[in-house]
Amino acid sequence: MIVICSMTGNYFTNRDYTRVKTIEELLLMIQIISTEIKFSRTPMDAIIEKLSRRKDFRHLDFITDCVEIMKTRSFPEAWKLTVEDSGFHNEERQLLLSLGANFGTSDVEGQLSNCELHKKLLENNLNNAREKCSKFGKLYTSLGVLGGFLIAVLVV
Amino acid sequence: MQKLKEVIRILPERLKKLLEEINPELACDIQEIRVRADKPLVLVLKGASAFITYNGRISFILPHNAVAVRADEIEQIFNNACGYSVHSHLKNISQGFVTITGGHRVGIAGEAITEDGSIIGIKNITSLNVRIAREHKSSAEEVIKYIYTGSLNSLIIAGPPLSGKTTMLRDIARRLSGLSLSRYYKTVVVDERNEISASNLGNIQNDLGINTDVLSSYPKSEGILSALRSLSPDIIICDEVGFIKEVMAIEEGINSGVKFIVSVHASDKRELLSRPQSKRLIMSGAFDKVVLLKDANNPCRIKEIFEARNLEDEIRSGITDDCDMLDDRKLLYKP
Repeated sequence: MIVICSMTGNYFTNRDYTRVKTIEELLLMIQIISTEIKFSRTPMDAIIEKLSRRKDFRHLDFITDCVEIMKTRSFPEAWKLTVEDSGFHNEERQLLLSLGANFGTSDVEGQLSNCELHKKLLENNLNNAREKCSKFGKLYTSLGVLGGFLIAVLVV
Repeated sequence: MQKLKEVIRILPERLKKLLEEINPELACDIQEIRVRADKPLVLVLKGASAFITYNGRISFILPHNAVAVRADEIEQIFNNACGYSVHSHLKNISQGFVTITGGHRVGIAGEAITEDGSIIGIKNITSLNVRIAREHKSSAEEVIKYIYTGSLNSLIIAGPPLSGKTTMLRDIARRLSGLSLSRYYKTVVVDERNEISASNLGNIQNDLGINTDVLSSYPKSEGILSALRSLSPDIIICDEVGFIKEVMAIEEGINSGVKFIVSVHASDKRELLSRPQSKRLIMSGAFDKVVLLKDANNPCRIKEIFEARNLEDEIRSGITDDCDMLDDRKLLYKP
């Protein structure tokens, strides 16, 4: 019982930690997209393909799925489908959908502004997620262990 | 049919389905697909405009149930043509076109965005014209014997729109760099609009022969100079030449012993001798022969072939207004 409750506490701690890591990777992803657009004018399909080959995006599996779907469908459709299926926190999912809706439909300046805006919004999310993580991280674990003990005592 | 499939890929599902159901024989004759916001979809078949009905019937007279294109579909087609990467095509968009996979050109009409007097983009797009590029691997069979007459000649290929100028340039490149003339000529294609090579992300989609280098998206004058500096070509091929910078680059090449094959717009001899672009090229003295192609109904078919120096004389003597007066003996070829 103690083990199960501790694991539940850990699950919640990990969920917050994973969200922080995911947002950090998303920020890096947007930075790479901005750079590709700014300096190489790289088309979106090539950028996504490049991103899918990166090994450091451990939480961004949706990019690989997007590349697969782009073989048969247009980029915006593929992006929408994979983001909706990504399992990200709702706030990040909405941000990614709005980011993707404007991808590739304007000139370089428009694209960079789109990236910049979403970067700022994601940074906000990151701060909140980090705060939550440090505030509740240990609490979830402790609550899990203590809750386990409490249930064990009550049962016995 | 394969070429049409490459093109309809960029259309919205509704239009795609309609065009997929067209009789394959008719589909092979489609040269252009023209879409205008809130207007009927127009197909150009052998130079004539036709309409398509909701049941897939093609009519050369506007039927009451002709399929119309919505404004949002124009935007979708445009974004598809750019591969949802408008930022990658800005230079071409400002020149009024985008080249899609397969080398097909999508012409754009809308409201120009200008800065310091030059166009930097197009907004509020109202119509698009998708031109289907063809690859006829025997289109240059007739003209190739005029390129090599003991030695290589420089050639101007003139013709009206859709007469097959680019198709012919493509086949000439393939033949010259292949073994058609007993040697693998070092050929450079300066492909500013990526129509000859259909180059996409470094992938050259059209067969241009084994000894051809392609300079994609280079402005023609700079591409020519770059080829002269670094690629030591026997022959340079480029499409739609005529600006003074380009003619100057060609002159530099001619002085280095390189031959050129270029194309220009001109429907007939009168236009050829009066349009500044073709006149400038002929007067440069850089060319040996001028090939005039027929029209959209007879793509890649030769109408006439002239000695460039004779045309140069005619321009100098100023008798360009009435071309019927020109001596037919100056023609090298008249079918």
